[in-house]
Amino acid sequence: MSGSVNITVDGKQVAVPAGLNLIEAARYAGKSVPHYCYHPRLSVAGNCRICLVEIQGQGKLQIACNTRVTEGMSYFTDNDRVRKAREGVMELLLINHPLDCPICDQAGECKLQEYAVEHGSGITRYAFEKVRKPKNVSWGDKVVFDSERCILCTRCVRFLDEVAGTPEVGLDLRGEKCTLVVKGDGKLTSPYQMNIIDLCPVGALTSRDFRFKSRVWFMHFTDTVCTSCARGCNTVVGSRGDRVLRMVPRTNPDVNDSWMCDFGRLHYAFVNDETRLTLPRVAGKGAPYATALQRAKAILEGARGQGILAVASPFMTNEELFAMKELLDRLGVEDRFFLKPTGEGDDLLVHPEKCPNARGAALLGFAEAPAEWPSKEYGALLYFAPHEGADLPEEVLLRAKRRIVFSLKEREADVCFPLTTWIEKDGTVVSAGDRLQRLTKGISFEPTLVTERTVLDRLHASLDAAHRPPDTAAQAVARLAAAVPAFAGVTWQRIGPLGMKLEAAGAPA
Amino acid sequence: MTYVLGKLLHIVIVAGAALPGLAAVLVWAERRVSAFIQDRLGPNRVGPAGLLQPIADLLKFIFKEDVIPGHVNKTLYVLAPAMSLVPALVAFCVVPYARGMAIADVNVGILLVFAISSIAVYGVSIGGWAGNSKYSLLGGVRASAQMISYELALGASCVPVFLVVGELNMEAIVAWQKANGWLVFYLFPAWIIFLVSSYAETNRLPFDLPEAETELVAGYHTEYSSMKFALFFLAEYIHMITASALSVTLFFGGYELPWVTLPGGAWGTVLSGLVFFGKISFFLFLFIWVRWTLPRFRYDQLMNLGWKILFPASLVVVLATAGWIAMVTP
Amino acid sequence: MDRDGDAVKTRVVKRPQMSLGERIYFATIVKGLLLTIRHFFGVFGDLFHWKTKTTAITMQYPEERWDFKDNFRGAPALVMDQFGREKCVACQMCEFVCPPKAITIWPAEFATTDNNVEKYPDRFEIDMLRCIYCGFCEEACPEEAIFLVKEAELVHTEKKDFIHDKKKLYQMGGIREDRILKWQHK
Ligand code: SF4
Ligand code: SF4
Ligand code: SF4
Ligand code: SF4
Ligand code: FES
Repeated sequence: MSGSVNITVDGKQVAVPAGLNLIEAARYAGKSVPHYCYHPRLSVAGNCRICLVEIQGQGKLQIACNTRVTEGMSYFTDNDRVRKAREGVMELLLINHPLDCPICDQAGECKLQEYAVEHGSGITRYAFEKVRKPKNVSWGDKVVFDSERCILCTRCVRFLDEVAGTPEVGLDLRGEKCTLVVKGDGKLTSPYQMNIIDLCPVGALTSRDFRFKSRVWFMHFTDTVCTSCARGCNTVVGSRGDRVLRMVPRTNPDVNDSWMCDFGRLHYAFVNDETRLTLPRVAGKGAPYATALQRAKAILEGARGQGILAVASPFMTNEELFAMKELLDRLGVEDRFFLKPTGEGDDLLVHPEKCPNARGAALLGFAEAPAEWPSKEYGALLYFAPHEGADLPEEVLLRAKRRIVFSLKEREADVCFPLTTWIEKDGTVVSAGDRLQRLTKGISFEPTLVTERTVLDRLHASLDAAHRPPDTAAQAVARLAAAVPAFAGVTWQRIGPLGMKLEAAGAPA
Repeated sequence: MTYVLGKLLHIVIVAGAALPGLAAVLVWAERRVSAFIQDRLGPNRVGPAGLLQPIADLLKFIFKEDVIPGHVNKTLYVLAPAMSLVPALVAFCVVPYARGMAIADVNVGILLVFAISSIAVYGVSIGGWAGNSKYSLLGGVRASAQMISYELALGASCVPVFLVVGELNMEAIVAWQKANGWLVFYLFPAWIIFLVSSYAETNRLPFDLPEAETELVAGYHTEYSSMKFALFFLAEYIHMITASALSVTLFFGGYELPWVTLPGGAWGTVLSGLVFFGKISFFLFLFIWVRWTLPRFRYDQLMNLGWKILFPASLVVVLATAGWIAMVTP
Repeated sequence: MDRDGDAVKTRVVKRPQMSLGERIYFATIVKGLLLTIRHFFGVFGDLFHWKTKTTAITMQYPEERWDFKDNFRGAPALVMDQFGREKCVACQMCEFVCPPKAITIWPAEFATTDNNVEKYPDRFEIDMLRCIYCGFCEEACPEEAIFLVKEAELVHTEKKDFIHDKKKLYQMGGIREDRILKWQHK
């Protein structure tokens, strides 16, 4: 399967790697071949027949997904025969398809709609009663199945079998009665089951969580990464009106292929929580940022002689951690820790570290929280509370005279700043395997919210007039790269949408 | 003392109630007549046949916010509407609107009217100046030029009347017509000139160039609103009344009827007042009727008409009348 | 010559000359006055029910009303089918197509799973201060659930009254015979 072969696609000669199928090979010639059942990361089933192409020298049309390129092969993806065949396939697929687009969540990103427009004939010649099949079937509390919409491509069947390793869906009955069934009590169990919703080329599988929340064309999409564990699965976040509505995986062969776990996918409620803190609190009362910053500055200055305890959060981006590091350097703080929430992992994607950036915190000189906290008394505590999964023990909190806390929800503290979540800021995190990845801002939860990096930098600037903080995330990355050897040579541009390996970081700590 | 009090009462009734009241009704009439002419109905909702519309209008004017724009010359801006209304009211004082009923029975009556109504031009042109915008200024300039030009023809067209009657006193003119028949039959060309000039003097269509809305928004009162605007409006209508009254008095026998002799005493006064009212009503109707019939003149046409046609024509009429009198008088 | 330098043929139009009668004005003025007075008396007489040639064309608004044609585009309203069922399935096509973004829909799912429709608008609001009566919503609706009805008199004193909620929209729309019957057919 090594080397390359020369082929001709629609009369255009290209050299493609050997072993490719005709769908992938056609991309090298700038052609796309429609396909339903074929998925690059699943085995080939070859049952939908929309990918028919004409290969020169072969009398019958062949399916592109299950044919591999050979030297000198010439095929046509767009001649009259092919077009007619596709039109026929579309007509057959649509014979029994319900007119559900208005109530179907897939509408707008539905392959059936797209191909019907691109390759369909625009009319139906079928004048009989359509076949009725079960609709609105619950496959557990995450997935809803609609048999009428299903085109029986078996992508879902293959995913659960081949990737998730839980073969629990299969085809039942034959002909026009053919439908999908779930093994056992009819409920899916796989922790990766929601990937079949993305895989399904039509709206036969819909997400219970996202159902009817928004049409896709209203949503604003942001490429970012999931922060529910250290894996950092690449995702696309759909939001409307500055609230996160759905998260789906984004293909990244080095991290998550095209999948993500259900936990991460559904784990965004804390972002939309309307009871989140949106303005700082000073001594339990709402206060503008200026007041809170003044108070925080006074606390930090007053505590200089008595020692300050700094506890970072592994939910912070590298740039925020670096801004914190700069501030702590300035204040001469020695005790720098971070709390690491941990949990179960598995051997597909889920990582035992339940936070996105523990590795980044370690690289920036924060020590993992010790089992035994130093029994010192502190003048002040600067604490970034993790979103969840870990918290500072009560007695450590009480050991500090004054407390500056950054938190999602209000907490008792002298000054409490609101945290922003991963979707509200640009930044970078170090995922599993020392992989540096970008977070992208997709929403602003409240216009009043100020990101942690800005708060830290303003605090720093109020202590040291010479501090010139970076403005954009790209500038912050550049500053970080210049100062920390582990990040040497990194730029926002180089990280790119798919992230990069941090070669300079050395072996994982 | 009673004389002074009586006169004051008379003035208050005429200038404070009768004229503004008549002007208000006139506004209503204008709107309804114009509607009828245009196959519409006009305001017919407030009161019977819409007769209370003027009151509604008045209330509206009063309750509108009294805006004094920032860019105007404040003193003149406030003064101008009054300067335009007061001469209009004063000019009416010598008009005998019923037998023995003129506020001032002066022997130079008609001259007084001319003297005072020529002051009215100040109200308009000062209003245009005070508005401090190009539209009002152009309106004001036009108004002054137009009113001065037509005053000549207007004055000259009355001279034949004096020549014939030999008196300036209005009651005397009426009495002459009672005895010898309406002057319009003797002096028809003079009346025509008088009529046309009076339209120009009152800034009514077809000579309403000072407020030509197609080009000047609203001319000299563009910058005015609420009651100040209403005063300008009122002045225009009172001018109309005065002009009609003069037309009636000078050419159409005033408050007397031909052939029928009205009784004397109080009844006679009332009846003669009604006769007068009936006559000016026709002329007021004519004002409206003409307005909704004829299009507006161009400014050069207006000036041509005034200086090249009406003024020479009026001189000719004066000379001809004089010659005629010279021939017939022994 | 025109812009390209070609010779252009010109034709001199002779202005009509006014005749003497016209230049003296008086006859024409009188003609005009007679014309207008005819209309005046026409309408005037009409008030007293005389037989006249001209009459007022004014419509006495609150009592008399214009009879809108069937394709009149008034306020958008939601309709029910002949069985009194909600036709709108909250597909939000109208919300999407609405140029001034007057429509806002909050879709919801039926608690039961035994009908074809699955989805309904929990709240449906049209902001009539934004609506431009374009009718795109009617055109876009796949369920024939929204129509521009003959409702053109929207007068309120409060801004919030201009936001038509679902109740108001159904009250204006009423019932329309349905051909689609999404509730019954595929
Ligand atoms: S699966 Fe696609 S074509 Fe079928 S109803 Fe849904 S959006 Fe429409
Ligand atoms: S449910 Fe979707 S993915 Fe599964 S077979 Fe049907 S169409 Fe294919
Ligand atoms: S008529 Fe036009 S503007 Fe009004 S709601 Fe419908 S689509 Fe929107
Ligand atoms: S387009 Fe029709 S069915 Fe869809 S939401 Fe609007 S009114 Fe309802
Ligand atoms: S994509 Fe080839 S048969 Fe389905």
